[in-house]
Amino acid sequence: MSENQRLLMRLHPVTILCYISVSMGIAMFCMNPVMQGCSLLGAGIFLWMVSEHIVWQRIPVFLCFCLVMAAVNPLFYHNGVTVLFYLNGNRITLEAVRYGLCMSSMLGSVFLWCLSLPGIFTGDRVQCLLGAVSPKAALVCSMTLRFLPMYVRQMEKTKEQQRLLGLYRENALLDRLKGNLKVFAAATTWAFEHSMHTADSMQARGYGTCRRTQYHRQRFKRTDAALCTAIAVLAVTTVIFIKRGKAAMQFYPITDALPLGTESMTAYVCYAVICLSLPFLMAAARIKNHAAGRNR
Amino acid sequence: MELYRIKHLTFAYPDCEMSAQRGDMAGKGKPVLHDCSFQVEEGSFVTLCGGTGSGKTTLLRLLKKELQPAGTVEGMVYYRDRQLEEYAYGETAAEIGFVMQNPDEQPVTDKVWHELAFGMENMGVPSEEIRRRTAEISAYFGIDDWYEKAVDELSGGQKQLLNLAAVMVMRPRVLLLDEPTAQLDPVAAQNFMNILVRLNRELGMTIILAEHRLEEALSVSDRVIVLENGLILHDGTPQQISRSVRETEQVYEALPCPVRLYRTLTAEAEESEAEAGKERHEAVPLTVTQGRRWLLARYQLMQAGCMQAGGMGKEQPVCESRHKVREEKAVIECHHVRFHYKRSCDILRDVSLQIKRAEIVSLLGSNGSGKTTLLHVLAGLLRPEGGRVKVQTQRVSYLPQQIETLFAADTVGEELRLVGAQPSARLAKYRHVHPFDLSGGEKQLLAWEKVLACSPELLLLDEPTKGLDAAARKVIGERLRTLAQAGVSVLMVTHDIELAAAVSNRCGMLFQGELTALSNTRDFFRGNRFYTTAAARLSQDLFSDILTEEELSAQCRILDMQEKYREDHMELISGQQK
Repeated sequence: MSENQRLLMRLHPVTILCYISVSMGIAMFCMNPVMQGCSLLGAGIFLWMVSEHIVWQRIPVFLCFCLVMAAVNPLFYHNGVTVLFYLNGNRITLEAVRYGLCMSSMLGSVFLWCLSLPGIFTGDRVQCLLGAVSPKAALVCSMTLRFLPMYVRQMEKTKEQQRLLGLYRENALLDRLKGNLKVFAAATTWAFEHSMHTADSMQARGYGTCRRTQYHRQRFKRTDAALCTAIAVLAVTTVIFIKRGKAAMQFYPITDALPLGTESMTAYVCYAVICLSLPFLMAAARIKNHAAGRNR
Repeated sequence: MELYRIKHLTFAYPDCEMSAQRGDMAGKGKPVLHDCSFQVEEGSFVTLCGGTGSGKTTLLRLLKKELQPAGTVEGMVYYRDRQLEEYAYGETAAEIGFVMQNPDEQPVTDKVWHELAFGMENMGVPSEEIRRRTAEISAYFGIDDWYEKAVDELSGGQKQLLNLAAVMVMRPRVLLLDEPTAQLDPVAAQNFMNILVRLNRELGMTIILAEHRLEEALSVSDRVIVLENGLILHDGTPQQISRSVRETEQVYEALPCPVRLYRTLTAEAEESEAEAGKERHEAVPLTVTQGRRWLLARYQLMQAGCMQAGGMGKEQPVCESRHKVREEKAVIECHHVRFHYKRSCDILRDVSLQIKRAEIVSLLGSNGSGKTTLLHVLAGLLRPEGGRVKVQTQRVSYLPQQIETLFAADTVGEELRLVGAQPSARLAKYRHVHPFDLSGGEKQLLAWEKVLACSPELLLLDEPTKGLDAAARKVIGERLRTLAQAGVSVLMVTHDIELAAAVSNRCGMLFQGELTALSNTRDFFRGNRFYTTAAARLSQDLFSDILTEEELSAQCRILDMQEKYREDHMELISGQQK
């Protein structure tokens, strides 16, 4: 586990979910270049911190995706008053280009937020979240996670064995299909046997005797409570000031001027604090770590 | 205090459609348990011993309310002065712990920590308490290091340890274990037994252990109950059991080597003493250490190696039942085979091996040494990365460790028809039964029939005796001998040292992906001090060149006879002098 991950692992999954959903949610519903910029920056750094190596492979895909999104809007949407040029007799307008850019950065940042999810929400954390809603669902999830790899392995073993016995080795499609079906049936029979034993094991350990508690290793600490409250307060403030400062811009037919009044500025600052503080903290911790490593 | 009191317990599985279909006598309401009565004292270590189908699993399950099989029960099971039936369902779930045979089948959840917490979650224990108890138990069992891991990543031994810990964390008063070490390799099995002993000695945990072999269990248990065909044959301390088990009984094969040796050598003396109305007070040696001490005392071998001085040990192996390999033609050869799986280090580094016709070669070695991988390479399932494999025959058969993977059809008849064979007389009555519904022994039989159906010239075996009782192991040994005599070559990887020593022509050890010490069986075991048969360990430094129990007892017999001859001779001389 890297140093950055460790910082996150100290937080309760609910806190992280809260952080990501608020950052993502506000960005999704507020078309504003400043907000989108914040969101993109926050998501970018966050992803970089969470999963270091994967990011570089995905950056080209991500850029292409954004460019295509930015290009598609003006090509297909011809509203707006400022005509830049005509393409095949269709107007390409400045407003459409602006909207396309804003839209693509919004989609891009959502994409980045989502990319960082698997790095954070490992099986344990998902179960922790799920368990808060329904302990039974969490248990089923856990059991499935154990069972599926076993089932696949059993199927592979059976297949190997049947091949060794010289059965279904022919390349004829029908024969192979038949063989696979047989193997599937055999593995499923095995699965039934297995599930019977599992049921025994569950009963032997008192499953269904009384109300289950849900044990998870993450604790909701004071830091988590403080962070969640801070995020909630800031989020509410942001939303209020977005409304009051009309920070959500209109692009058609004429693009609004970028709202820069006190109220909208407050919204920007609040949002920036929400979505940038955690990534910056992580980055700072990392830089400090690097420096410490170099000094040693 | 008594924890369990079982009174005249008789149990029969219901006469269901299935058993009628099987045409099996056992299914027609014939009792699996007959009038069993015994008590279990709190804090005792009781071993239930019996072969496959002796009813020990059924008996064990009847002792836990949640696992009681459906069927007709007569007699009573008292648990702490109340009948087990009177307890509410789940009331004793935590108090009576149960560990199953197959380490893969007990875990319910995907993570080690969750598995430990599972039982307590069911009991509604609050989170903080669960945290405390899992911490305590993982410290006690030493599972901190893999606390975060997925259950699938663990080795068999670790899994079984986890299963035990997951039961222990619920703080049971009594532990019921159904052949917990049958599926483990010897090292892991020994480790597991040590922990059981520790639980018994340190915490006063009552333990009821079902086992089909007594090598490890006999010396550590307070009491042994021998079951055969649902009847309690013997019930007593290990010493009493070692004396009272008759040689004709199945369980005799399950006794440890020192006990059997003692019995063989003292049988005549005991008989004559019994006629004279005397009773023996000498303790039966239960462990190798005790056995060595006893042998030393018996033959007054005060110094190591003095037997050689007397010229006794130099004699060639007394009985050599092994067949000879005559032909030089190799059935399979591999040269400098290398292999590694994706994202792992080399499993096989440089393995060269040659198996001749009608030869049995055994490969021993610890888990993860690449034994199964080598078999897969030789069977053609995996392509070696370096080196080459030359198979001189078309008919190669492979018996996997998990024999269920051999079965892919719906009935036994269909199963064998697929490989072009007819069921043998013993399986004929199960023609229409699903392979998974067969008993353990019958499954084994079907697997062998299926594998042998193509009349193979080369047989690759992956731990053929894993989890089998003494009788079944003997059958497999015999079968291998017959096959080799018929000209079949056999390569088996096994943990079963006794089997390897008894049947193979050559043995080798696979260690870290390299084949070491591949040589004549006798030479191989002569070079080993630790990794060798019980008989060899018993006689180390006392007699040279002992491999099997028969050899050892024959050697001792010769000594006895010489001693007797000397005594007679002395008497004669003294008589003449008079």
